[in-house]
Amino acid sequence: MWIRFRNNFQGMLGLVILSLILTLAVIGPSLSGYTYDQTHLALKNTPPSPQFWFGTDDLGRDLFTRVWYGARISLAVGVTAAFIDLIIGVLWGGVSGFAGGYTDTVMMRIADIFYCLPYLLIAILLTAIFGSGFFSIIIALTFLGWITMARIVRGQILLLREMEYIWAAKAMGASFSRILFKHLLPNASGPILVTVTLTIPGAIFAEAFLSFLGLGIQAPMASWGSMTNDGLAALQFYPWRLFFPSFFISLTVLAFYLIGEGLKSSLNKSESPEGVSHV
Amino acid sequence: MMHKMIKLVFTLLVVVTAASCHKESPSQAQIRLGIEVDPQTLDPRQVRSLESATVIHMLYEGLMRLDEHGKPVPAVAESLSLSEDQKTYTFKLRNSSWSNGEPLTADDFAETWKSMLNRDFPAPNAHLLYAIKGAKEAKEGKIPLEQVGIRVPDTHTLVVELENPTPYFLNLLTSYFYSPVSPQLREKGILGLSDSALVTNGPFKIGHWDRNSELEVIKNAHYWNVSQIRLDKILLIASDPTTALALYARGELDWVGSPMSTLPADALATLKQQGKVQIAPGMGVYLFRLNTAKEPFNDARVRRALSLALNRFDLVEHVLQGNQIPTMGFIPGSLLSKSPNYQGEDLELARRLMREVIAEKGPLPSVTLCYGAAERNHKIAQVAQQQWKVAFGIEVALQSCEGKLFYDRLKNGDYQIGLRSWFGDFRDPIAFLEVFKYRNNGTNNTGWENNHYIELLDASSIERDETKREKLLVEAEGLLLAEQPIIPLFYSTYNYLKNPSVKGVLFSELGYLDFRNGYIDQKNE
Amino acid sequence: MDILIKKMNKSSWQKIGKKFIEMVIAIFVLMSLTFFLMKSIPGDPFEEEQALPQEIQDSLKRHYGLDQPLYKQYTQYLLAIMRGDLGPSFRYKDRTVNDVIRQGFPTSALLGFEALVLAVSTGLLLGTWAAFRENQWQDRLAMFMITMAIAVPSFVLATVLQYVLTLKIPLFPPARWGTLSHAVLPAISLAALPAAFIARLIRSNMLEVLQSDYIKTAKAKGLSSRTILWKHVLRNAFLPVLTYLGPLTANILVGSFVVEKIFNIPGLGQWLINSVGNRDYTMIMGLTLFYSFILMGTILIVDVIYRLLDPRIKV
Repeated sequence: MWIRFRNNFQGMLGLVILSLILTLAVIGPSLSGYTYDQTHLALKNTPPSPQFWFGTDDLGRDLFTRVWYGARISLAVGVTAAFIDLIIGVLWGGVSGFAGGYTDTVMMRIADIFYCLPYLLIAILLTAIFGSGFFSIIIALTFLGWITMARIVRGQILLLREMEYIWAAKAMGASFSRILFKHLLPNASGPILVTVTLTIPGAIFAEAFLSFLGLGIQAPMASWGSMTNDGLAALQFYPWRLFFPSFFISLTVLAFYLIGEGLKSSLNKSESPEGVSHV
Repeated sequence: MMHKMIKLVFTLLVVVTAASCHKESPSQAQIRLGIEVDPQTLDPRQVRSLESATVIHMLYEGLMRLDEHGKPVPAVAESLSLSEDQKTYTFKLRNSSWSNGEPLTADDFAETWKSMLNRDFPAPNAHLLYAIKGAKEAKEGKIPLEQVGIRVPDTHTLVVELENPTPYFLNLLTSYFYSPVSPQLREKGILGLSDSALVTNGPFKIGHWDRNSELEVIKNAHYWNVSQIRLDKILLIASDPTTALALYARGELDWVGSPMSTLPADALATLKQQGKVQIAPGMGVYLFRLNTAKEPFNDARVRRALSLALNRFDLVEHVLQGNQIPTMGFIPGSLLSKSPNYQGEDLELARRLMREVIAEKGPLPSVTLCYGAAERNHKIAQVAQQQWKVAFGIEVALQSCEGKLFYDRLKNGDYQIGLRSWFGDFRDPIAFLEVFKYRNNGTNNTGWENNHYIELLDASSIERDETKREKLLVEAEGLLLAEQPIIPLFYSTYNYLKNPSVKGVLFSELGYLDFRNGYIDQKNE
Repeated sequence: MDILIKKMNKSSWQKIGKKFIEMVIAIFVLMSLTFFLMKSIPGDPFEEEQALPQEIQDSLKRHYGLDQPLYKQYTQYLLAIMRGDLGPSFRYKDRTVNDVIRQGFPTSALLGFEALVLAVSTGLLLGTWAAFRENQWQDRLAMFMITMAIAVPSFVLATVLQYVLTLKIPLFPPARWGTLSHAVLPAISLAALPAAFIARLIRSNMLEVLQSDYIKTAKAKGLSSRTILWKHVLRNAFLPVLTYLGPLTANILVGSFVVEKIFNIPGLGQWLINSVGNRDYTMIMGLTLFYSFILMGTILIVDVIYRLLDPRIKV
């Protein structure tokens, strides 16, 4: 599979971009000579220059350093949250969709109830209980994030479970989990991968929203999401403050998308005798 | 079939949205203000927020009002007299009426105030009526309302008895919470009245109110001084601050920023350069409250050191950019005849004090600075953190909290340093000093209490000589600042943009606008 | 459409009825959870930046019944809801929750509807177009646009659109609500992400379906491309999108916080967030109730449509 992936242009391009970003996230802050919290009040809001490669923010801090420092936070949080959402969502949706009947009803109703709870309320409660920090923000982000994935997976499973090869497998005595994991879920990989590419930027921006409330990373640390929030207000006057964090978020999302496409292509061998191919 | 569907939907959309359009008539003298949030209510007895204050002042008028020099002058009251012992005011009301033509009587004032003092009525400002004799006891349910010191000998005379001689009582009477409300409002409550049925007595009355969109007030034809009013209507348009700026640039708003909204911080530098920002003095102070019950702030030297190490000038000049006034004092200068000049920042002394404490007690425990999540607080906190890092090499952690969570933590003493402001409800130093009078009064939060401070404040409340009284208050302030349970940062200002053709509008230090003398100068349009 | 309705017989209606009851139970559980969640977070409706004296806070609490034991508040509230009375706002004293919903929902719903139409039509067209030109430059371009739409959140898009198309080039009004031109930019901001997601789903599903055996059979039988497209491909490709469409519709109809804030649209979107921040208890409960009705209602409808469109599915 790796060989197939390596030959896939899209996938490799995505991997290269991501590696570049990761490298800069690690070494970037040390390249500039500034720290992420060092203020130069008199030099606030200056455009990119040889002294400050990405310009400065409203407290005169070097944006280049802050962008790469923020990269660490956003990537860590985004990927972790998306991953957890993926696991929970796929399992929940898969089990619910395949089991059907009463189980399905209860599971989806629970998901609905979670979904309708005022999210801000939950976020504030989590702050009050867990305080701030990486752990609490992951909990807050994954609390609701799995639901969309669960719904999509369930929808797909509902379609797929009526197919003949599933009936055949049941007739042959295959267990619930075997059918689910070997036959159904792999065939649902299309929508799953599509949804994951949505979850990562979603997590990045949800983190920005939460950190402003005091949940998660605290000032003067900043993630791409909170820097984007910050830069928005200054769009008219100091556009570089918005440009750089948004640009790198977009680049990262693009990279993950390309990798996802590469993965899909290299997973091209189908499981079912019907020959439903994956694209 | 798809095409037909699309066409049908499109036509529907056009028709529906075109049908909901508001047209303006530009020929009237009108001012359009940008507001960030709707007023909480148009019942002055239940209002607490600043943005509501301006609207209340448009719709209602009390016994007194502030003139352009900030002095109380008669409004609904035509004349007044004060007894020898300075505890009884007698007001003679002029002949005036409500916006539906019904006469306004002294009873309206008396009944309104008594309703606020009713134990079960939700009046967030009831405590500002405690100057009146028996008011506090009535609110606490200890005495019946009839025994409160308000009497109505005849329809146009109001007699008010005070607990103590209160030199700032006339000042108090200019505030919105002393406004009278109509008999209909007293009877039915604000929920029981439709907008058009809301009867008021001020220079303007309510026109229409599209909630969260547009509030229109129009000239009140029954206002006793209606000939003085040169504006036909005022529109308050709900807008996000950044968008408000865009609307102002397009000429769709005449006033943005304070007091009903804020100017985006990132726009200030450019706007100031262009000379467009107007600055008005405020009556508030931003400060750090320190929890004196917890380490390390139970040691006054640590508190003092932190205060001395802050460069407030940089904070105001570079970060806040609103021409706020850096201060180490507590009472705004305009309230005193002579403001004591408190010694400024002193990094040397700060470091010396800190070294002393560390030598004695060992290294400082970890310190966290808490603040309510808002852009301005965010910046202030980060600057303070950096300045303390440079001064002492200590790492003060920052904790941004959701608004109400933050106030709750302060109330319960669950903090070390907390950023919170205080705005005077009326123009007198006591409005500030009272905050820290008792440990448990709900506004203090620092756990600090000092008997001599309490004595000074109590003495000032019965002191009749103005100069002596000021001396007592200044002495109290000095005591507060010497013990330093708070670190004052700066006095607030109001920043706004105003269409140059709008003139005659008074911006009170207390944070509301007075449109009585407002007009549009056609030449400048 | 009529064929679909005819397909539904008595047992179908029974099933729908059962689902409706499930919905009511779920909403009851939700409201109870919300109530206790709400009461367990610190803060009350009255504390502000300008602190209040303790006795005033106490008197306010007493007036609004907040000093009573929780179970009493809970039961009183439930009884009121059953009468349809969602209560007065704690913060905006001259409005009831019913007032707020009545005033704000039509605006949010209209904007939401416009955005939905835009999103679904754009998504369908783009996704189909890309699927039929798989791996050619059109496909790649479409996918690039889609990825960018996902990477840029609605509030960034809204601000940028507002800046460029109303300030720099004054094509549209920068804010407020009333005419069609007021709706264009907000609708685009709201529709971008859903359109991208729908396009992606459609493309992915379509490619799968196009490769499947029964489509190949239909082609071999000689059915025209158009028939194939409309009858089989679209229907099967659209089904998973329907799952996504349910909650999307509910969310868009009750209003988006950021888009309504940036464009000063007097809808319902800002209310839920603001009311939590204000600890406006009745408003939080009322809006949650309203939202959950809409959400669960749309999910119910989606489930029904799902069954109708594909009889293989037993929901």
